[in-house]
Amino acid sequence: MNELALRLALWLISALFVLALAFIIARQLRSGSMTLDLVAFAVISLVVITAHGLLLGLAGGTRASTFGLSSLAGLVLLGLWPRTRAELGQFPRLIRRGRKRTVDVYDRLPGWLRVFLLLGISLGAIRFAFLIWALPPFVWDALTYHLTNVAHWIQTGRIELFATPIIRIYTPANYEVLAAWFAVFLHHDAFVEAAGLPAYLIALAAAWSIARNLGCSPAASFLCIAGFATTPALLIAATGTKNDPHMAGYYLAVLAMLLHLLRNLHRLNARQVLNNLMVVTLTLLLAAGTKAYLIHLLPGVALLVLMAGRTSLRQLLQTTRSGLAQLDRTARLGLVGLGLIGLMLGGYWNVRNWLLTGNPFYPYGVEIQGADVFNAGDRTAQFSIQRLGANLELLRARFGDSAGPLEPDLPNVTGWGWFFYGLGLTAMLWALIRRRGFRLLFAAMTTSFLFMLFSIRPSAWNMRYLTWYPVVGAVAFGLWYDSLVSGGRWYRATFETLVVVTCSLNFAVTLNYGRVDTGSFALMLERPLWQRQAAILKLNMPEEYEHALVEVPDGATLGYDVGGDGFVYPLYRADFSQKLIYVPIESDLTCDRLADRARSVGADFLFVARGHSSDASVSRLEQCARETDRIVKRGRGVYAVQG
Amino acid sequence: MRSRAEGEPRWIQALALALTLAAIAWYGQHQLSRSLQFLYQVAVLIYPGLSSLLG
Repeated sequence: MNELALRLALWLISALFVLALAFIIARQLRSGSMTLDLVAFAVISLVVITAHGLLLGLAGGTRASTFGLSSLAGLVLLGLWPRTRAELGQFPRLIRRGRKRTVDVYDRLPGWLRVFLLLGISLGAIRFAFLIWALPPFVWDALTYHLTNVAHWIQTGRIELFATPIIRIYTPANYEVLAAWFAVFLHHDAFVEAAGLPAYLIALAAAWSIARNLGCSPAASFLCIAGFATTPALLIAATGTKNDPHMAGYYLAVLAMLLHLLRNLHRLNARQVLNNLMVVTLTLLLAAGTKAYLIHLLPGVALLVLMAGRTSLRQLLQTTRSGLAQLDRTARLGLVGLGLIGLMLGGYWNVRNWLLTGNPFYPYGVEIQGADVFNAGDRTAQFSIQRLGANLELLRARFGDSAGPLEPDLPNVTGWGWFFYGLGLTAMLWALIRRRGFRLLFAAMTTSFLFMLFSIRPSAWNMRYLTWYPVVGAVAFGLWYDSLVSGGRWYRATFETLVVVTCSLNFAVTLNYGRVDTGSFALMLERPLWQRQAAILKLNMPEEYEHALVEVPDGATLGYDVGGDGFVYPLYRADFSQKLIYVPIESDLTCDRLADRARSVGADFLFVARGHSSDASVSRLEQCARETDRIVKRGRGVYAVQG
Repeated sequence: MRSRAEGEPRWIQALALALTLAAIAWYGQHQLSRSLQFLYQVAVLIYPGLSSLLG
């Protein structure tokens, strides 16, 4: 068997284990809603991958073989234990039932909508597949720290901290553990962008559930998710190798589950109530270990719960107690085990940082209305009215996306797109006046939105934290669409046409991430898949990175010096083969001492890049290459160290 | 859950349509060319004569 086939087989075994275990757990946590059961299944799959990856990684087992063999052992155990084997036996029946219900709903949709959905899903799938296949990762923060973690872990086989000027490698990294699962089997980043797709699907399923719970018909709910699914900010981010789409998915999933729970409390049994709460808790914990800004979103979630009223909350509490009392010993143990895994995923990174640095949010600080909680200089998250004002002022300038193109970092734009601005805004205005249930959703999501603006650092790129907000406009449109029954055929057809047009325009702008020109696609496509390197795609990449790729031979160690926001990931190469070491270029060292220092840490080459390294480091190496024959320039930014 | 099926008065429908079209025009004045830019690039690759045809 050749190596690629073996690696694919290990990936398949691991995927089967994840799906089987997630299926069994999700079966114990049924919510009373088929859509939310699917959301729970997806969230639990991510919990299984992340927990498995984290435990293996901490033990030094971030390798395809370790993943594959431990997954195989897990599959054997699931097959041997009668209770889990019986659950797995339910799988074909549930697939048949799910398929039948989906076909029933689909068959009742109007003909044009069926065509639109089929076409949209097909084109969307082709777009995702093509972009993942054709392009290497290229989004700024991914190349700075998200994928730098992934590359180091896969290269060394261990989840650990390492010497680098990129201190953001300390931030909670559940997403990175997940992304590592998408790269470790092939030992290559060819499909790492796919790590965002589960979050995208979770977000869409949650949007569907929210729309249905607020009273939208199936047709209106499909239009709602079509509008939201094509939101450029979300669609572009889905394969952008950053963790924001995951946060959007988890946040919307929590809102959808709580909305379902609170609006159906009268018909759900005690076990279903408990299950919903358990999945909500797991999702929140997974999110807490993904990005700390979950805290900023929670006030909106709390408001949604509080608005249910005292009677409902008392009933919720009583039903939950009753649900707990009904659990048998195995189920209780299972729940405790799941809770502990959730706590590990939610707390590991912050506890580690607390122990190592005294600040759980390192490298970020926290300041509340001028009072330091954890100080981290200019990286301190301030909770202050001034910040809200500054961010609202920025939002005003970005509203309408007039300031620039819609691309991954969303520079000075919201990225909410044609559907939200064209159809969503008017629908929101209408729904706020005419639909009480919508006001609840609007209040909760707008509270989360404002709390984000209350605290995030005002910057040109901070709208990426808010890709979930267009759901408000999409759900409002769904409600509006259902009210069009008396508007006459042409009136309704006008809005249906506008949905198709706005969704298509949203889709069109995301075909190339709003950024990649045809020449860059051609540059990548003329290379085999395994040679499509982030360093070569010069969208935001100085040529020094390609020089490093060309000039540094296999087996050599590359010493690099970049700033805190510089790219490190492209230096690892797509197959994580390049050994790297951080070598600060200190200006007070003589050139010979600098060469000695580089050699003493094992560096055969030194690397600096304009815009990513300090000007002083760049000019110091240039100068040394002129002054001593121990540092030899091999290309812009790349220097061989002799002796 | 069943949808609410009551309709809205004519004047609300007219106002909603007018606001929607205005919003699309407002958004489109900045984003239309940007949204179609890549499709245009691809179309020119397939049919190089397109750029001179469109001036």
